[in-house]
Amino acid sequence: MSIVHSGQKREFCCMIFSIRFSWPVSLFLGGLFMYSSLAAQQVPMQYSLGYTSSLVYPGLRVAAYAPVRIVTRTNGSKTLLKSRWISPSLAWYRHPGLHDNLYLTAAWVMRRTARSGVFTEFSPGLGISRTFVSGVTYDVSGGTPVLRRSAGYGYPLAMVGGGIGYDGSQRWQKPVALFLNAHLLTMYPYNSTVFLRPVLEAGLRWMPARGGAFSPKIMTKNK
Amino acid sequence: MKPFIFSLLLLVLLGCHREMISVGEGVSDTFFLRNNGASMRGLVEGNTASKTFLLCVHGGPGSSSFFFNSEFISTHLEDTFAVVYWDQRNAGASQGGANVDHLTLPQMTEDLEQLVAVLKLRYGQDISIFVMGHSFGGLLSTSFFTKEGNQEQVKGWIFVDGSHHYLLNDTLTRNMLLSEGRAQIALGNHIAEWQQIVDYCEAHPGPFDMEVSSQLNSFAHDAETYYPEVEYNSILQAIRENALKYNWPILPTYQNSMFSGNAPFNRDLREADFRAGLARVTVPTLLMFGRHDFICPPGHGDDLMARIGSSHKFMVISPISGHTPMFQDEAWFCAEVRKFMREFR
Repeated sequence: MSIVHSGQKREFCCMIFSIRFSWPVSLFLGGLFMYSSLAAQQVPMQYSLGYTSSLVYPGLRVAAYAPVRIVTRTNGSKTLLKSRWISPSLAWYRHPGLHDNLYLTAAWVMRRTARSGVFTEFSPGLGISRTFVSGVTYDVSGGTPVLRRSAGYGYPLAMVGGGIGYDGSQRWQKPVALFLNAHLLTMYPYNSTVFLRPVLEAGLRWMPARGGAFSPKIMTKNK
Repeated sequence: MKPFIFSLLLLVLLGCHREMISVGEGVSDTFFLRNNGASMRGLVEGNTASKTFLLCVHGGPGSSSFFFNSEFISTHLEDTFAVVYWDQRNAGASQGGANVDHLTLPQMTEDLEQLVAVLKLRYGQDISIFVMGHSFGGLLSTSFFTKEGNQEQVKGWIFVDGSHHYLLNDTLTRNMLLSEGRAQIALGNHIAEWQQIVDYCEAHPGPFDMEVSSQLNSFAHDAETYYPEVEYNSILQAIRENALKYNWPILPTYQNSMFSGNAPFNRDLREADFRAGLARVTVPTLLMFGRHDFICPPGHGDDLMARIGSSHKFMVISPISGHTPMFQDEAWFCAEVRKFMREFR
């Protein structure tokens, strides 16, 4: 993760740097549950590309991550970065004989990154879906068959899931992270009932040092 | 933003499908029939050059024609004919939105009529279509054949372990469970299981409400497993063997099955009675039953044989089958279907 301090125009290329920076501060302040706000800092957006799969049916997902809150929590020698992101994403999968599904979601991403770079995520999200049924469609609703191309349905969609990953900025000094996610997609009303689909995702997240910066609430929390 | 728009356009284009109509052997065409809130999958496999089509009307309600598409049927029927695996609305790979209001027997009958019309549109007005209804598909196909003008569109009717009258079905199931149960207890076979069934049947002579009907149906499913000659029909095995090969949408199929099997229209099905119209059915008809089918007992066949007006009506019984002879006695099943279709195409 890269954090841009707008006041000093200094760039911290990786999260470990910021964590190390917060260490002496936390030791200095001491005590339990001390908070300090660095609200003036700006953090760039992040972007990811993932290959998704439900069993064997392929798909892709592209996502952006806008930072909302970043809390650096230290407890003795342990440091944990807890961050919250709003993540719009566009995804697609193909299930031959059923449909192609294109869905747009906005997720609330809760990420915990350890000092080692290993992180875990949990992300509920809401969105919309447009399916394209897997074959030419004869619409006979009007009495006579009319050929429809790109026939399908729109559905509200909810998604929940999480995963693990490794933040390459920690040890490799590279602005990338690798991740594995598992999501459960639900669409309703699909044939008047709930459509369920587990989706696995393997991907790469890019964490540029600049561009598309947001001003999240940044805090340190010392124990 | 541009990559998003580009991806969106690309995927919309990928979602477009050309009308693929294949005439030949080893064909596999998928199309969808969209009607009143549902897009229903039709998979046509096999020999479309034969111009002879077997249209599968699956059971449930809410099962799927995916289950019919076995390796055996592929090699023993699709070589000679084309087989149409149709998923009814709210079943299998069929899709839609909030469409429960259209989940009715008259609507499904109209879907079947439209499917026949679309098959003729795709493969020619001169094709021969045989409608094969299994289980609930028996009721749906009875609704189709007793409706004026429909039988003229097809060449024949194959009725496989189906029910054409649900109230009669309950009586037949109860009577068969009772008589077979007593006989099996006397033979010393599965005494504890049969005794429970016999006790229940003796306590419920009829009339049957939904609760009793469901319990009888549950006993009927169990009963055929007490005969060693009846092969156990494992859905899990079918999924293992065919799910990936044929891209079964397992979860939607399960969800559809659960929904349709408990949908409000199931109560209306109990009132459906097409017996008065059977005398008008004049197309060649083949009635197929498993000797050990307690779910839709062979007694249905006796009633149909007495009522159907066709001069070409046949009833055959597999001695080693329960409710699904297409799997439990597949060689017999394919041979009988093949013989019937060859004779009347």
